[in-house]
Amino acid sequence: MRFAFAFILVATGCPAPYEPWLLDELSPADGIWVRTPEFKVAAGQEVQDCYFFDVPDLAGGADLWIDRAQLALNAGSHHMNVFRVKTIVGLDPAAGTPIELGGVQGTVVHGADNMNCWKSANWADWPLVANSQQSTEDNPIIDWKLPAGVATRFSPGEKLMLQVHYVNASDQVTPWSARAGINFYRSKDGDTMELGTLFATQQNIRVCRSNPTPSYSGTCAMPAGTHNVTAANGHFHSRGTEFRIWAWDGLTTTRPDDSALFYDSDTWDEPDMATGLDVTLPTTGGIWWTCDYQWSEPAGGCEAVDARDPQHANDCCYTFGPTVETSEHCNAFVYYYPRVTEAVTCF
Amino acid sequence: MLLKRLVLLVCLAGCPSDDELLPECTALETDSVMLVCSTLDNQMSDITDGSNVPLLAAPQGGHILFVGARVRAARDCQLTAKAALRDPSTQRVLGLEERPLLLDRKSDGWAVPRDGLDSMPNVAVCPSSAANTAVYDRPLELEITLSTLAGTPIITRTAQITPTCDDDWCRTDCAAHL
Repeated sequence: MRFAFAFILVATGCPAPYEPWLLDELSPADGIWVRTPEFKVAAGQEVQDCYFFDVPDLAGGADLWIDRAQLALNAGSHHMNVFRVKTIVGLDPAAGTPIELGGVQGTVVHGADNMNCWKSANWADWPLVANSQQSTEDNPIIDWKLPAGVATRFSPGEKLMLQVHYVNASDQVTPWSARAGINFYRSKDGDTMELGTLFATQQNIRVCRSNPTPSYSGTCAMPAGTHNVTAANGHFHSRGTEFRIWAWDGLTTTRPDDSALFYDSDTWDEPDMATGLDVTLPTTGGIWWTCDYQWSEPAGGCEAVDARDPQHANDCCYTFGPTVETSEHCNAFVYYYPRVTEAVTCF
Repeated sequence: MLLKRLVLLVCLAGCPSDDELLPECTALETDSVMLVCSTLDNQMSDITDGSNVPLLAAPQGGHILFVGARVRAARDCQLTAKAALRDPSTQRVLGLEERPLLLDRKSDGWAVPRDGLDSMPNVAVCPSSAANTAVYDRPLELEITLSTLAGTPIITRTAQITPTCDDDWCRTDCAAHL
């Protein structure tokens, strides 16, 4: 019926109606819910906003254990990331504007007003909590249930940042309004094994007209012990052609063979969030990840790309940066258990 | 067929010609490779056994070793460089990175990494969850492998180096992780 209705509208020249996603508003007994306001993304623009809020005290001062997360995005999103706020460098929640975020109150730092919301060095030691890059019209919600016995642990009053990035340009489009939402469901079955996260990024990548198919690989070691990977995804921009992550033994300097490959995506804009993985990393190991690229002519010409090249090579080089249209990334997000350290970061 | 036509059209519009591509370096001899490190302001120095190598504050966070190689070459060229830092006491690799090694030929016949942090490996070693003692002021093993652009290894060189910190931030970031 929905398709028939949409067909009629398209046939008559009307745009298909937008059906917004819906998430339940959670009671304190069930968990935490967060909703950003709707906002417009003007044609040709990228919007990145940093929302801050405190974990509410829902259990009489006790920690909260979260064993299911729903992450929702209107179409057009490039990413949403949730971090635990640690060292304040340039991105200060106190400098934000107060804002209602559904089930919590918070502040927002708009990237359009404050470039610190764009600079990753500002959250270098902020542990990853969750992320989503899934924002198709047909599938706007990741419903992520952690393995039995495993949960994310929050302390009441702990400050979190929800970062939302939208694009409405040539590489990605935002056809309607932008919006993000999260539901963190409290565990009710006594989970005691804490979920840990690993965030790794390649520094100073460079994809140029004169070197159009570069590949970047790196490793990220885990503390010694047994770690099980349950979810993963990769992140790059439109020059990215393949993102792969292997289990690595932490000792050898040759790329693991493909029997150890546990994540492989050739989709840059809506990469798979692999959940339900059951990968045990070697006890002294970690991950090996690789990003492959194919240079392409920018839709608007090379001027903007050249302008941000620190080498000023005039070689139409995409270099490290957050803007989808003019820069590139190579970030790995890995979720494992049991957690052994506050965060594993490699950058 | 449609896809092939589309690729052709795109290439006609913007694909680089062979003349624009940075070529692969040709055959290397053992005595035509020297390991190097550099600083944020492009002060390059050779690495031999016993060298101190500075840990650099990376723009996106953490501290890196900025290391690679210079080679004898007939022209500007590139290879693939993989660099790894190993702790001999545990045999664990603290950090490893592989990327294009972009080289400019100088008048003395050596092709050296171009200026800038993107011309040779940025080995992220701080923080490292594999480090059970500080990463700085102790000898560690640096291994660099040069490969063809297709990934065939050409030569591997190792050196005992001592990573060094210049400030307290570095010493904190590069302290033992656990």
